[in-house]
Amino acid sequence: MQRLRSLFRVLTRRRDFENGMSEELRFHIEQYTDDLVRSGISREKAGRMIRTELGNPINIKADCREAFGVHFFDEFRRQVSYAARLLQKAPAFTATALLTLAVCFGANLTIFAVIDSVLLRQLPFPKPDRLMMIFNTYPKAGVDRDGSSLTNYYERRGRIPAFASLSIYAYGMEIVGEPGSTERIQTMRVSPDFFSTLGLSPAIGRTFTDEETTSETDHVAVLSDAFWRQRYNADPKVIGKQIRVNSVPRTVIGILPPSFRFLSSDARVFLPLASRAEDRAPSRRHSGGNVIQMIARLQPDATLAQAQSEIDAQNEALEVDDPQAKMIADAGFRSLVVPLRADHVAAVRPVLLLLEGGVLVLLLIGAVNVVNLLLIRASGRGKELAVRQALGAGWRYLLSELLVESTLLTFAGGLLGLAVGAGGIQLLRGLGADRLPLGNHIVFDTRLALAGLVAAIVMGIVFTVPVAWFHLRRHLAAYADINRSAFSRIGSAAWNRHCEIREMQCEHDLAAAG
Amino acid sequence: MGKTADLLPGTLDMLILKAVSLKSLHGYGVLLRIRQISGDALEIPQGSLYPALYRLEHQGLIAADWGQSENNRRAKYYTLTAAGRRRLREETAGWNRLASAIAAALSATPEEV
Repeated sequence: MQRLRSLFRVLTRRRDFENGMSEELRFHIEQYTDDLVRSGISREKAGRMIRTELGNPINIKADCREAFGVHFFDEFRRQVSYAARLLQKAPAFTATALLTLAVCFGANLTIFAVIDSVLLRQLPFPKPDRLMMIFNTYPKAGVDRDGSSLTNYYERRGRIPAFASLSIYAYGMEIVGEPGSTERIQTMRVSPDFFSTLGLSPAIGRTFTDEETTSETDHVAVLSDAFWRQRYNADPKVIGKQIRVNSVPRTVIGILPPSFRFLSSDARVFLPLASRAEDRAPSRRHSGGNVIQMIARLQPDATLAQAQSEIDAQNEALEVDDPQAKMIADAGFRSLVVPLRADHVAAVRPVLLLLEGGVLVLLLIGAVNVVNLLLIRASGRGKELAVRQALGAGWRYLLSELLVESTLLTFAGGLLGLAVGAGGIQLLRGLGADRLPLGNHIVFDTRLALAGLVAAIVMGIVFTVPVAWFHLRRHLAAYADINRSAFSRIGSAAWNRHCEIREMQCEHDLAAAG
Repeated sequence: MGKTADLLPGTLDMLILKAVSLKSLHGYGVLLRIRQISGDALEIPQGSLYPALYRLEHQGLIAADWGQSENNRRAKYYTLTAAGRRRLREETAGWNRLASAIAAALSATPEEV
């Protein structure tokens, strides 16, 4: 930890570090010279003595840098700028590779953003995997999904031990506002326990009570944060004021937190789901009509199977004295418990996975293309590397250089890919992606960008493998090649020089040179 | 200058810590101080002095600060940190154990065997 901190301090004040080092050595030399001169040695001789004792300051500085670990970063910076120069010198190669990578990364980021927000990311509620959807199904009557009825709600509430809480909701559209400045907006009618089932409480005020679920007492409303900001300028004194919904005045009692968003809904005003006693009667049990939906939160220790069997048992008990019991049973009636999220995105899941598969294949094709380009480029550089190796560059160094070069390329491709991806998401929005379930949650955030850049770096490392392998295999052959061409150059020079001399003499010359 | 001994490997760091523990010193001062406290017997290889100082600073055993030298020049002064003090104690104890063990071994007589 201490070492990392000290390394960081040096890296951020690199110039100070270098200047300090020079000054320190200069100070040492001057002090030592003065001391030697004072003891009667000539200045010239003192200088010589110090040079022998101290050694080369360049080497000392290199050792000091190594002591701090900065030499590694210097090397890295040098390699990056070398790689950048090499890439600049091959603009056609660089442009093609970058374009390929940008398109591949961009397409992948776009589709992954959709997959991420629709299929992967947690819903914005506490412990979202405990949230379940419950709906009635009558498959033999051709009704796969009929929502739930008010009767279901009042019969189940508090009587299914596997559920910590249970609630219902219905989507709607209402005319909101004073005459003359009304707007038609999305609303939701919800049971009092709806927000607590989701695990959220209002930012200001309160939510609905059980007393507010009759048509005489339901003159209250809860607003979304966005609606509150837009319509009331985020004035907290709005609590207790009146708002007209379908020209009926209601009292604003609460404001939801800014992050609140229920699945794909854009509801901005929430009203109590009020009903009359006769709507809750047993005879209305099968009147769902897919208008009212039921969600519940599992107890921390309960399982889905447990909840399902409890629902089944209750249904069976209730159907005993139902005059329509036979007809309902013939329709194959059941109430299914399914995870909220999986249920919500079930329809689009296969399509999205297919798309993801498609872009992954695209990425693979792009990767193969870029590797191919890199190999073609490598085949032209065999000699260069062989010469540099002959001049003393270690294979480790050359390998890290290849690594830096291909990673720089993929990283730059990744950066361009971020731009393409951001554009791709805008394009998807234009094409109506926000009408997908959870489609309004699609965002291009730093998390995604970071994932993209990490993928780009990993790809660069992977790309180095075939290139390095290529060089390693060609290594000996390239060596032989360079020796041959060097020899023939010397040979032709010798021939030029001795062209007027007889052939025999020339051969003799060459033999002597050999 | 009298007869000087070569440093054993690994002892340079210990000597630097010791020198700096007495008083904060610049690099050249460390050299002089080690020469002085060893009674001119130990000569530090000057080429390895600064890399050693930098290594110790990097490890947090000594801290560096710019100050004024005796003749009013800007110089980098090294002082011992708490971690350095601990390390010096450990190394001194370790060295003493080693030295007395070797001394005991070398002074063994045929009768003791």
